Amino acid sequence: MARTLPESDQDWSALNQREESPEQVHLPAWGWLAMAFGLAFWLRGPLAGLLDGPAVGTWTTVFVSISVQALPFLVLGVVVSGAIAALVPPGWLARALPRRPLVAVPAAGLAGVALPGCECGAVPIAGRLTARGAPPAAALAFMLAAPAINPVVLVSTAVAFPGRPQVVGARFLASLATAVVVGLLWARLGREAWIDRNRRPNLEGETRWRSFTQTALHDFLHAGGWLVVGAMTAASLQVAVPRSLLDAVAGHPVLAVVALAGLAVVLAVCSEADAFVAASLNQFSLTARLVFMVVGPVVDLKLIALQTGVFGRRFTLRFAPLTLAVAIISGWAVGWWLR
Amino acid sequence: MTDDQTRSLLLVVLGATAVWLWWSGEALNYVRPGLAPWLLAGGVVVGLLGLLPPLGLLGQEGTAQADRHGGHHQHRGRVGWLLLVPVLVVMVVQPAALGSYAVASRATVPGGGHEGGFQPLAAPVRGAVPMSMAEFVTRADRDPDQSLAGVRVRLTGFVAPSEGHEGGYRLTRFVIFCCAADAEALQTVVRGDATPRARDQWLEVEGTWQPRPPAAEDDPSPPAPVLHADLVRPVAPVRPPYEYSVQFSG
Repeated sequence: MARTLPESDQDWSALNQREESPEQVHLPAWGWLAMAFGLAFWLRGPLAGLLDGPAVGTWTTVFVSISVQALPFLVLGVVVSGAIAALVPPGWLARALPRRPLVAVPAAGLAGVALPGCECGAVPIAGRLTARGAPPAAALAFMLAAPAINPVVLVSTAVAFPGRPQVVGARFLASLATAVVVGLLWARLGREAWIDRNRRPNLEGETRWRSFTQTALHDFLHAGGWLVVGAMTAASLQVAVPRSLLDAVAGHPVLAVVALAGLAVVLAVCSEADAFVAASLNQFSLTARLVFMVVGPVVDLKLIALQTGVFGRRFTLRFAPLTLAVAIISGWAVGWWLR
Repeated sequence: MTDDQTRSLLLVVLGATAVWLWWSGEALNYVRPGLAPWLLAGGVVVGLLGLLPPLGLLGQEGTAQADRHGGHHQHRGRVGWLLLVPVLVVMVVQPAALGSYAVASRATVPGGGHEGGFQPLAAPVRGAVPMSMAEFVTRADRDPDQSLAGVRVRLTGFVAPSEGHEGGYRLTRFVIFCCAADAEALQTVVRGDATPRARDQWLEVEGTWQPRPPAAEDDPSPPAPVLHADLVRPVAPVRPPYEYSVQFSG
């Protein structure tokens, strides 16, 4: 068998194939890059004028904010992902984890307590865990639970709702329940073919350092590119849909819950901050605000984009609606008990 | 140049942009100050990842076998190029902090929950009590003891248009929790300023609150508090531009 480069190099060599065919322009990819920067600087004046309109100004600020806010968490995620690729032997996870989903999924969900941070980091980690042989249901439960029930998020929830510790408990319960239920449903109904496994670098026989760097590079470029897609979508919807629409439905018991679930998807706020946003939505019932905090860390526009990048489109088409439904029901049920 | 080098260039440019945002303080237009050092760390790691291949530090190529799905990868590799979009936006437009045009859909009212009562006001400085917009609006809307009544206060914010027949303009501050995507606007109506003020002009306003009973806890949009200004001074935009708690925790 021929020795070739791992996938991540192939990705980029795709850009060079244009160069290889003689009838096309001989401009390597870095040339395009330099041209893009040159053009951007040359057109700076007119472009800045064009992008100066009020709606566009808000769009650029929100878009850059989501990107900038997510970058450190994404970097943390791909570094952990690289470490998993380098240090965890293939097949070890499959042997080490309990075989029965009824044990493995709740355990993986609870393990989410150990990953402080935001939801962006958890996606590449879960992708790497499945690539290393962990059962998808367990890795997905971890991915859903980690950004919602880690200590940093629980503390910020307690700070956002002073004097109401039951909100922290309710959030913990509803989020963990969401992760476990989605994980168990996936164990029962999920198909292996829905997860795109072609998108990982082949690391067989590589040194640890090279496994680490290749994985981190590969994951960062894939997840990062998709994150930008998510940030652009979220910024567009934020500018296009006025939030005052929410006030119209705040008093309705059912519509209020649906509206705040939708707001959580559109806002794409990081999970460390969503409790403060929820606390400020005080025209809504506590149940609706709990649903907001349960949906936000598991389904939002940047997460949908990230998951598409890591697991593929066929996966996301099924996983995102399932998770959204389970999160709403779970938040609603716990919120009802909270009253 | 190979494509490895192009990829490296992309990552170094991205990392450098993140570091520059931190270094110049522009990052504060987008995220809360606590996140800025993490942006620096993230930018450094991304830049190092980009520098590894040209420095020959990627490690020896192992015996990885050919991946036979190469055809699928051509599209996926390109998604990484989208990372250039935020870089170009930052370089070309340098998006400013959120301003008056973003207010419309983001106005908020601080909640109650002050069973223990409010703390006493800070001491006046040069004839007025300086306070954050969050403290002013929270006291105005929620304090049953009306601690603001008759007190000269000093507020800083930018000008946003008033609504309906309330007159004057609305002095505004955004409060953010994590990044500007979750920003909410705190506002007070300013009356008694004879000079017309341009939208988004930053002002320091001294004056007294027009007393009214606390807003009902479940009122989604009580009218904004009103400040009768007796001294208004244009100031440079405040850095950092945002406040970081929607509620003065008195």
